[in-house]
Amino acid sequence: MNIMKSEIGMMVVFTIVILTMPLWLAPIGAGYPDLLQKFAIFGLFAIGYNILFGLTGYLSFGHAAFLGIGSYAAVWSFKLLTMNVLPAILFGVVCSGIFAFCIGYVSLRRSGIYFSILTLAFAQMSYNLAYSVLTPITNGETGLQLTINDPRILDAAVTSATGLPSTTLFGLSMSGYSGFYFCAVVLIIGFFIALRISRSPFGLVLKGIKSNQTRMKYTGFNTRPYMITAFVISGMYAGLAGSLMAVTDPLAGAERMQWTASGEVVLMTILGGAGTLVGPVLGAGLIKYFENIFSAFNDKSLHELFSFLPEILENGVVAIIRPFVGEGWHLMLGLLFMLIIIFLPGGVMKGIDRIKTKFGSKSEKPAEQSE
Amino acid sequence: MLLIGLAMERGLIRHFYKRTHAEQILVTFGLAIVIQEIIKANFGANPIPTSAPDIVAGSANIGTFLGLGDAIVYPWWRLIYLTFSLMILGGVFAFLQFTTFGMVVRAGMHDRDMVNLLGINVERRFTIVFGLAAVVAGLAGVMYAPILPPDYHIGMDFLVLSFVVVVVGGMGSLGGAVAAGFLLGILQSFASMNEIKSLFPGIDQIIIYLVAVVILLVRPRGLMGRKGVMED
Repeated sequence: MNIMKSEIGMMVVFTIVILTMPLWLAPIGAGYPDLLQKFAIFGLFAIGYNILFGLTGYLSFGHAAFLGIGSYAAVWSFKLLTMNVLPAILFGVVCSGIFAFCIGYVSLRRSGIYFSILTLAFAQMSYNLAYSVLTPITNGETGLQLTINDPRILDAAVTSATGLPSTTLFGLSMSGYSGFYFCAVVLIIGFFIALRISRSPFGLVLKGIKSNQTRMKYTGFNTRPYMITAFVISGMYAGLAGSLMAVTDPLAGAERMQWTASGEVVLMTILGGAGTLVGPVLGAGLIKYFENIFSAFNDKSLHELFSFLPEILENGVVAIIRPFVGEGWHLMLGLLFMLIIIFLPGGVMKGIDRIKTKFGSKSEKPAEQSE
Repeated sequence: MLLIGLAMERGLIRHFYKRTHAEQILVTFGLAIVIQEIIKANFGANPIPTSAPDIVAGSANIGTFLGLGDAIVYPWWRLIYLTFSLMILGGVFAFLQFTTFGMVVRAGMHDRDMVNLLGINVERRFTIVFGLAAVVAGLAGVMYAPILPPDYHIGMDFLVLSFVVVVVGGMGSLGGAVAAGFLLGILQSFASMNEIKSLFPGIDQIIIYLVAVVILLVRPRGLMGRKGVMED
């Protein structure tokens, strides 16, 4: 299992796994582009969140704000400049980075639960403002959309298309599978950067802050700039994810900034395993998969699924499972989440490691742990 | 509510005293999702309109009562709610401040191992306190029902607010929580006045969080937080 240890090996495996997702996810009903795009986007979001929470241990409850800001910025770029996705993404990342710097600068004066509350307060502020006063910028409740009359300065010079244009990468339309592959490539790049960060001296400092901030300070590190940098990087990842959301579907709404959305990314990171590299992506995939698959079940599909059982048994099984799927899939999510925190505090990745060591596989040390 | 609270503590929460705050928050959050979904499955997703008992319907004419003309009217139920909450508040405060039980709990908050070593079963007292907390929250919910028809996610709407209020007030300080509650509530009402809204558009939306941020930056432990409680 040495392959997981070298960076190149890890990147190759990760790249192959991500790019072939449409193939190996098809049998479990997840092989369609919309869902795959979500996997990639939320994977990116969770990777970024993990740089903050996993490495430094600071629990931010306001990360969805950066996601929302990224979305708005990207849609504005579509509206004003061009339908090409690159400027949009750049714009989204820069905007959310700036916001992250401002919020982080203030919030990082406190730690622990006070930091969580501060970030939560900022995120709720942005959400409420986007919903009400900033309507000229955010289009309030309706959400920011493209219209035919948008200026699109750069595009106008080149083409004079009629109708509502779609997002493109130099002419390649960003819907369906091409959209997914674009997100996937960004995800892979993002993953590589995160890998480099967590194995760099900078990443080591962040881990040092997590295990004992006071000691780090006595060693002579001024931890604050490191924290702010981590916060900004993590916010930029969120902005990137947000702008990718706008790329796949050019619409930005305030609900992306609500605290439940922040909670979701916390769930993803924890579920997969905070502090690991692959964990957050895995967690994001799991949650989005459950959301899409389980919520699609209804009585009929359940009866079909268990039709191999005898009639009485079938009805019984369906009656038991019914509350957990369809509209009730949150119940499933909550239960799963509790079980993981109670029995597997390190998330799914930790669980995999444990199984590995238990069955005495030849890998000397769990590969991914504490990366 | 007492029973549910007790069961929750016994079954789940007590295993988390030793873990980090983040994990405590997360596991209770997960539990909240589960309970919320169970409620939704049983009672449906629509709000259930509930009216106050007939005997207290209608409004009180406070203005006339105080001799200020009849400009000030206030629904009876809200007055009752106010009185009731003040009573509960006094009760909880007295319980924590003046009884031996409350003293032990407060001591346990500071240094639970020490209190344990003194031969007092802190675990059980914490269980009871958790149950009491559930009772108080449940009472608030019952009394609030006529004002806002309850639906299954009513808890989530209040969760964030009460979280902010407690932290702003200062962890481990009942007085702080009350003060912060009143402060934020009153500020929110002021900010909703048209005069102020026209001066600072949107202020009513963010005032609570704005004040929370300022308070936490000026007073790191909240309004009345004491040293040594919930420090990381």
